[in-house]
Amino acid sequence: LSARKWYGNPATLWFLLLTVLGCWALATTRVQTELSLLFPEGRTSKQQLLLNALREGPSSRLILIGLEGAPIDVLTEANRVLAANMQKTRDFVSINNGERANTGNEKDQLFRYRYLLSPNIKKARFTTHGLHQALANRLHELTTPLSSLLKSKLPADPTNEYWHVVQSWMTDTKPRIHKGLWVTPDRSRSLLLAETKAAGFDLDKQRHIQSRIRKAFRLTLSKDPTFRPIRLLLTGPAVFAVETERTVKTESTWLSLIALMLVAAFLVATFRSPTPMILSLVPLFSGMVAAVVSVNLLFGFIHGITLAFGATLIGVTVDYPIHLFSHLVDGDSVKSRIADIWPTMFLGAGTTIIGYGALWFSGFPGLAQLGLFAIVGVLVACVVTRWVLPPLIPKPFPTNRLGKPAIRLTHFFQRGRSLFLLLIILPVFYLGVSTEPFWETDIANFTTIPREEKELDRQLRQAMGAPSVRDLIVITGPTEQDVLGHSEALKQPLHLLVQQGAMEGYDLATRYLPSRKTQVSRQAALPDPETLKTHLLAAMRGLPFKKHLFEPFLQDVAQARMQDTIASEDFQGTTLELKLQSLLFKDKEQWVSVVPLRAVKDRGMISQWNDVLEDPRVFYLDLKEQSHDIIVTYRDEALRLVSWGTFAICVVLAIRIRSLWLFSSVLLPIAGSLLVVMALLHFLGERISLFHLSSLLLVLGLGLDYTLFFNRTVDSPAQRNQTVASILICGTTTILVFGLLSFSEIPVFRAIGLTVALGTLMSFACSAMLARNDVASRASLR
Amino acid sequence: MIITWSAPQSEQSTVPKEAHDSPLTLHDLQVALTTHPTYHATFQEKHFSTLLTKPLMTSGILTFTPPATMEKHILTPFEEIYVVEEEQVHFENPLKGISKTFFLDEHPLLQGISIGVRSALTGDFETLRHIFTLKVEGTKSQWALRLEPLDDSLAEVIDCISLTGHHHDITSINIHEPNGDYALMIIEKVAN
Repeated sequence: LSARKWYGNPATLWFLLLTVLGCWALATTRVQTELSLLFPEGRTSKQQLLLNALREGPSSRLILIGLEGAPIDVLTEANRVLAANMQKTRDFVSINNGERANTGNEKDQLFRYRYLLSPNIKKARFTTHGLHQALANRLHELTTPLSSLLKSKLPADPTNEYWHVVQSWMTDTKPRIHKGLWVTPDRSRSLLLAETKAAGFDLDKQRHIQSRIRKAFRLTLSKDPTFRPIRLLLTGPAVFAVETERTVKTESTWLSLIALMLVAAFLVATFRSPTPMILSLVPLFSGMVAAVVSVNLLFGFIHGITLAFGATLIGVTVDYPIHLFSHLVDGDSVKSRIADIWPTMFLGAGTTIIGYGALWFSGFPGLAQLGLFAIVGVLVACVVTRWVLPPLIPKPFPTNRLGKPAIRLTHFFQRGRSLFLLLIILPVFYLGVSTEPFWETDIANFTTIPREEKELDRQLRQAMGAPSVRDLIVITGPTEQDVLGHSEALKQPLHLLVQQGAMEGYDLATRYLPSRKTQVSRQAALPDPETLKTHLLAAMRGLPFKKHLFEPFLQDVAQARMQDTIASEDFQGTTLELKLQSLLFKDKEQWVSVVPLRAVKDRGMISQWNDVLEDPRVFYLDLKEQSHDIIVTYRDEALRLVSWGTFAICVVLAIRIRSLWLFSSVLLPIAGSLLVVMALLHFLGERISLFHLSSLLLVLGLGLDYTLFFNRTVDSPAQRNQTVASILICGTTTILVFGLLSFSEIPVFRAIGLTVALGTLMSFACSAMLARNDVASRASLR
Repeated sequence: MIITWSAPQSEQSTVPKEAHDSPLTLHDLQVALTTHPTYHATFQEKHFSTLLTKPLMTSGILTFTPPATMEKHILTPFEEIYVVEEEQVHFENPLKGISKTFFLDEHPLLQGISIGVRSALTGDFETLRHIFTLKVEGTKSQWALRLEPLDDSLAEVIDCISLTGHHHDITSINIHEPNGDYALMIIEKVAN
């Protein structure tokens, strides 16, 4: 090899460049999986940012754990051991199984601050009359078995403030207790609630934590033979996220492995040589590396969804080398063959690029990334096929014998040419009369979490009193105290909404932590020691309480008057910390208080109240509607861009072809196949989502490729056979890959697989139906 | 049957041995109680508390409907109704306008008493043995059953429950709390 030859060989140069780029991509590419990154920044409303803050907030760090499969006494015992084992891992902010709620210093804390926390502290409560009434009530309570636990507190708390604090804090759905630990109402499961130190979306850490929980569980089982039948149940957002990631990873590994083997086997069998199969990977990998590098360069990161979806989309670029291989004839040069098919190939690739180019103009980072990925990937694969691949092809050329069957298949379809009109009319008619919903609007249907797991999560949540909420009121402000003050002011109107029947209840942060101002005003309502003593003695008259019984009460009130107010830090390490953190937290520069609404019946009334309020710091959020909005905006954006892309493709084709007859014989099959695919998807019960739409764009590109090749000007029947065979080979590989994908359990994979597989089939059928039979054509595509 | 109010530890003295009755075993008592029909009785209850200078009195009606429904209807000095059904309690105080339903396990003392008395009434000693140690004294016509909690958490609220009876009727229930408080209930069966 002379130096000149070495330099002049584009393949060598390309491989050098590819290797460098590939290494660089591997080293620098940041793959992100946070969904929030896909939201349009310019248009992101405050709500959407907050939605993210909520998703990433403390509730996303909760792991709900259930033990089942043994008598409840055994489960409870195992629960205690498991909690202790988990504690040793130091992965958790808190592990709660009901035990701490019963003992712990939490109750002492509440008791110590009862005069600042009780909602009932008013001057009237400590007058002679007020105290007398309280004492008479306590006397009555001494005869009931219901207040036994309060009896010990009576001397220090005759007005029952502690009880009022506990009452006002009690959630309506608190866990059932068995031998001191949480159980489900039917006593079939023992429960634990763990909050991880790691963030919920930190999947690497979460995966490790979950495996350590399983390890702690196995350790627990070995402790006692009666524990052996116990099963461990784990749910929660982080558990679902880890599981989803695992499902996607295993499924995509398996599917791509099987697809690769099928396609490889098919290509090797067709060409009776492994060369085409191996060489087809060159443009594909080139496109992939270039696409990853360019997205990473332009956006600073590549999203996991872009990578997975984009890789699937540009997977069809193996069609380009297949076209080339199918057209090779011994005795002819590769150069002349590639030059021969290049115009058609380039037009096909060009229109695909235009279609995806439309996505690039999107303000939505998700769509823009996908657009760029596809443009670069397709362009590079196409160019590599044209200039890098030819010198690599060894002689003698591998040939296929699919020409004759391909032509026969084409003739078969062509016999049905007169029925083509039906392929346009029937789908339109069917879609027109069908009453089933056409679009997918529920984000829940995109997840891979099986129904049983969702149901388990719901059950455990309900049993632990941590139901997932749909409706929220969000209060924002510059400081914690500001937000707390604001939520106290909202108590009245919210209560009114409950009375008007708009909802059943709400949970304000101030219920647990009153603002400093309120606490100080409660302190001010407490009488001085002398006055209190006088009032108390007068109040005790005629009641059989022992004379000095209430000394502790006098002391505690005197102390409470001087006490520091309680702040959120004081809840650290208690079970209430978690509750409070989910209701009140700092998000970047502002403080946010979230008010979950319970059993909302009239959303209209609440949003109307919110509108009338005209307070920019308070707004009502319907999480379901929000996620619905995100899906719909994304879908509409995709729809708009796909339409523009289609229009642009038509314009380019019209300019290039300049024959109305040819133009329509290229476009009509595509219109037909797209319509039939949509009708078929609908018929199969699929609801059309963003993923179907983006896949239809791919179908459009493939369909164009087929019709362009079908309508290519050829010089001989032999050449025509080659062309039709190349379309058949391309179509078969695509259907193999995407047909496999349509069997996936992952809804997004299934959506893409089904759409593209059906689309490829229909594109081939429709293109064949309307293809020209003549060898030397009137209008030329060259 | 007449029982005089007396000091808290005197429940044993309410069971004078009768010469013609043979000593009672737990099994005998269980057999006697198992045949229990619907129960309807009046009661008087005296509550002694270390916090008070004199006891508090209540009275009313007790009803038991097999297999698991018990009602304690206090009539004086104020009306109050407890209905324990399986694991649930319905509580009513008409004067205060309170009417609520909750689970027994939210109130350990009430749970201990309810399960103890209910199981004793139906002769369900199997359940009793899970929760208490059982001691029986006396004869069929005049027996005493003493229940002491096995479980530490129940022992925190109940020291012991003593029941006295006559054949298959319960004539008194004495509940001792660890803090020294106790309640003595005298029951008089009403003919159906």
